[in-house]
Amino acid sequence: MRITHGQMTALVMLVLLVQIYAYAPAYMAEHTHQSLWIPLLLSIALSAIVGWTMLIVSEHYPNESFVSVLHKVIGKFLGNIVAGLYFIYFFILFIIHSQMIVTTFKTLFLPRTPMSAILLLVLILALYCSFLGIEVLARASNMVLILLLATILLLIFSVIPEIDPSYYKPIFPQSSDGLLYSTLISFSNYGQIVLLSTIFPFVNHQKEKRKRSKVFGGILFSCFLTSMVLVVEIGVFSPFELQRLQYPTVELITLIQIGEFMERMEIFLVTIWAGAMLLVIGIFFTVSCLTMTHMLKKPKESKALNILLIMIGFASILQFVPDTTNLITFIYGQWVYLSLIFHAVLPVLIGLFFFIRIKVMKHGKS
Amino acid sequence: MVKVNKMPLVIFCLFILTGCWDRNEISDINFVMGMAIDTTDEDKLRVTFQWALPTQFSTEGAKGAGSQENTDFSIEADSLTRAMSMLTEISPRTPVYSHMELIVLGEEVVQKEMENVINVIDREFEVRRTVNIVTAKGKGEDILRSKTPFETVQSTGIQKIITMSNQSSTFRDVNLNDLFIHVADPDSLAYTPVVETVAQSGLEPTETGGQNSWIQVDRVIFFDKFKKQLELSAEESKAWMYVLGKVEDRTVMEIPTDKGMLVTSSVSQKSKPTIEMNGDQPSVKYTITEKTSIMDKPIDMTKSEMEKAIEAYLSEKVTETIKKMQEENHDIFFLRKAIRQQYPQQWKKIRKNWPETYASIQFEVHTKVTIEHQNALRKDKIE
Repeated sequence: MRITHGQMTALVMLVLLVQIYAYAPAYMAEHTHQSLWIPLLLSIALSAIVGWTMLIVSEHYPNESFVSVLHKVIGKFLGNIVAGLYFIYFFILFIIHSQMIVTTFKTLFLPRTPMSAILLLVLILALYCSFLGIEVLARASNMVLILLLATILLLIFSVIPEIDPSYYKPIFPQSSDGLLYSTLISFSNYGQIVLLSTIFPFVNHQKEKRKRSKVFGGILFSCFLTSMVLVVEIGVFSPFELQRLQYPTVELITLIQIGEFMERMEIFLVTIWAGAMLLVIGIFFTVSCLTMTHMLKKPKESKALNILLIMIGFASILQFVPDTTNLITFIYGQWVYLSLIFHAVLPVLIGLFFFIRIKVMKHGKS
Repeated sequence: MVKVNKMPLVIFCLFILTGCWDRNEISDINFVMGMAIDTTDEDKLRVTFQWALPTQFSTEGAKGAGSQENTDFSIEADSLTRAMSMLTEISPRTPVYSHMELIVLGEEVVQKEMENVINVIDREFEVRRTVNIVTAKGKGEDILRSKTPFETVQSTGIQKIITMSNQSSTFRDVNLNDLFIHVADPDSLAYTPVVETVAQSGLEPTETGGQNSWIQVDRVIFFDKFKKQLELSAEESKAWMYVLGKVEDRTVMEIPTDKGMLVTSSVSQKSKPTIEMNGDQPSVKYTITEKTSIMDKPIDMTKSEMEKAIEAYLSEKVTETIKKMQEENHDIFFLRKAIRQQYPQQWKKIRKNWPETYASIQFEVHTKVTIEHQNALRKDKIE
């Protein structure tokens, strides 16, 4: 069973659509105030370059798993190291997303429910997703994507009347202070485009032509749409108020009031977001399991391995990011820098090796 | 065999999925609709909670609601958090604040305890950012325990006065979101409407034995970082609204002229501030435009004369208010914020000496009034 280019695009779009507006707006507003559109644009451009590179490399080796591609591009030894690093990367993203949804629900809606109960549910679902496999997740992501896109568009259009254009002034920053850090924050989200490389081998290349521009169009649309949420938040809350808000997008939803009959939408919109988030958690966990399986050169996925990984995930969350404060400290204190390895350093390394290998091969042939 | 293995997992999930920890039965909830916060002589907070009877939420209940009383309950405590928790000591149902419509701050609270009170409200996620907030002239409790026409729940009544029926343009409605935004901005004053009970003869109901006071909202009070700065009069508030370009449609103005009284009703109104910098000295020009209709006029006054009279009157009132605010150093027109946004480099230089700079700003007020129609249903008045 294979997936289409559209389904692959939907998977990556979904991953890019769920995270950046959760905690990032406050931290970006704190560092770049009303000029947060600049780091957003910069990170989208950087992510497009990284994504393009990874897509070109993957396209060169269709039907090969990500680990095999790494073996072929940078050699077996280095390939295994990089694959191992990417396994850790996907696993960390799985942990971050899991705890993000758990703490959000616990803080906002279910204060008395034990965290471990919500966490167990999330992890069981992730495990179930890994048993279903990428193909099923890709099909499910199409429907969830439509719902999430509609939700975000509804949110943006509903709060446009609340925007005060003066909050965007001055449009250009007076200094470059905080610009780099803000760019790192948004790049740590949009850089997750590297997921393309692990999903690309599942695309049915025999039945479909290459649709590079459509794939990228969809992905860039996700980036710009989520960026719009952040830009709208500046206009609605002002840069000073935005930096105070722990859950700015949930607060933004509470402002939706269409006439007398449409308000208190947060439970519906957050539920749709949660559905998408659960699917993304499942995607990251499945991709982690797949990367590990390919590294261990197992011919088939091992359910025991998946169960072992989910248990490690459960223990890691309770040990390292047991609450919102720990999670936020990790994301904005360490992860924004660590993620650079996976979003920039390794893709550049893979791209360089690939470029040299292709040139060498061409030169050899000639 | 596979089904047997999955059963424990399914049962386990079912146990967790039921989510009994945070269940809230609708019959166990007490919907707090309004809250008034005052101080006592012992420096405690006196918090009055108002909740509606559940029957009033239904269509049938609303029809017969005239005979039913709401519940107002006042609690004295050291803090707002404590008062909120003490509410549960008398309420057989769990208080829920997510449907709250109004917060009334007593006059003494805004002078002594505003920061503490607002910080507690800020941390309470159930209190939505769309809740309206007002300052009471006197005790907030009196406001919440008084009456408004048509509405059985006082909080709803005041909320509707502020947001729906305003045609005097002597105040702007403020919700928590607006308040937080202004308080968070280091170069901006925050404000709320002022609510008071009035017992004017013209407002008294005809039935004896009923209430003898009504609610009135007709002014604005300003704060700088939770400290009360000034309270505008109704006339100044209206001038302030003209400068901001926020005058409500159908706002009535009575303009005395040489030929008699001119009565207008606003159709639409805008204001465009233009700030220019001469070195580090700002100058400000307000271009106020209004489209209006005539409700009453002196017989021999032409359209052009009326437009000029209205323009002159508006210019005079706005200029007077600006001058007074300059003298008293109250930046109610948010000029600090505007200069910071338009001239960030110059703002860094002048912010330290803002009071002197503000006092020396040259203001120009240009008004442009267009009479849309003269409501000429009758040719002349009855002699």
